[in-house]
Amino acid sequence: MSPDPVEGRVIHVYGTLDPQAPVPAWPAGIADTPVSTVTEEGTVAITGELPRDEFDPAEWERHADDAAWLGAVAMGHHRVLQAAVAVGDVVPFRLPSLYGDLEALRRVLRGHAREITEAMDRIRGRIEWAVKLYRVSEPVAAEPASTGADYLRARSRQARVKTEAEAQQGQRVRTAYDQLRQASDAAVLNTPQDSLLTERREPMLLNAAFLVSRGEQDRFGEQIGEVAQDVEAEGLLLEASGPWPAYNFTATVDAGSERA
Amino acid sequence: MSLTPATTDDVALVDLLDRVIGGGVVVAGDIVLSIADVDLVYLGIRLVLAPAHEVEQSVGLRVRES
Repeated sequence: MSPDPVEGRVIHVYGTLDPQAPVPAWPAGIADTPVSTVTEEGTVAITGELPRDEFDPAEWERHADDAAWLGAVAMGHHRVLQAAVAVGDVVPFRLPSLYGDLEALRRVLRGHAREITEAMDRIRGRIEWAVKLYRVSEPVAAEPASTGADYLRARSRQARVKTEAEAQQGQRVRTAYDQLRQASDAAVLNTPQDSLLTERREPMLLNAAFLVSRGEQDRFGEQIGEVAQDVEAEGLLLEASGPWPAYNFTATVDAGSERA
Repeated sequence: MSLTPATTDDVALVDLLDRVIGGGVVVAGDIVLSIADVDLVYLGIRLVLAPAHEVEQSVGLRVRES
């Protein structure tokens, strides 16, 4: 049993471990702090103590527009969850989940034991994969025009071709999503990220996450490859990342079942 | 297609933040930082990841009021 945090520290919860899974060798957590576990009535919370003065609400507010600070904190959080997911299942907690003392944390774990167990049951033996689709080309050929009337006719024709091409791409995106959804255990559609955030000029048309059995990952990877090839002919580029802890399938315990 | 292993530090910051702040279990209670505070941080960082002036034009929001 861990003692209360030393003066001037708060407890951060990274997530919870499957009680049956082995406890991994932990990497350094947020702000290079050590990681340990707190067990309360069958729930195993992954915890770390953070310096209170560096992580109090005023500091979060002060760093709200500081991508370097928040990026480092997020990567510390993610690194710990990746270590956990490498050896067993993990239910991520939203960053930050901070508690003033151990009793507060234990109270929350007791109060939410059922929801945490339900989330764990939902994702047990499964892992998250992400797939995005971008529109990289629009098949609109420029036509030479000799007169003004020719030019206007060509413009109108091009507009029609563009609309048709976009509708066709939209249909292809839906088919691709359906194919991957059927090859997975659950799927979530997220809002496509703005091109200002993706550092890509091409618009994102699909931003999806899929929950896949650990044993089916190779097959799902092949499916992703096939879809990528299929959509390429329609001017779409596929980007995949994973495996991720099942962040998208545990989002707020209560709403999770609706999203999955 | 491109495939990024999520086990490396190569994951895009926006993907990471969408997951670690936008996803995961939220348990209210004796938390030091309120859920509303976190929502503000999340909104702020999403906006600041893009150049501020372009964000203003595209979504009509300022990054910070102060």
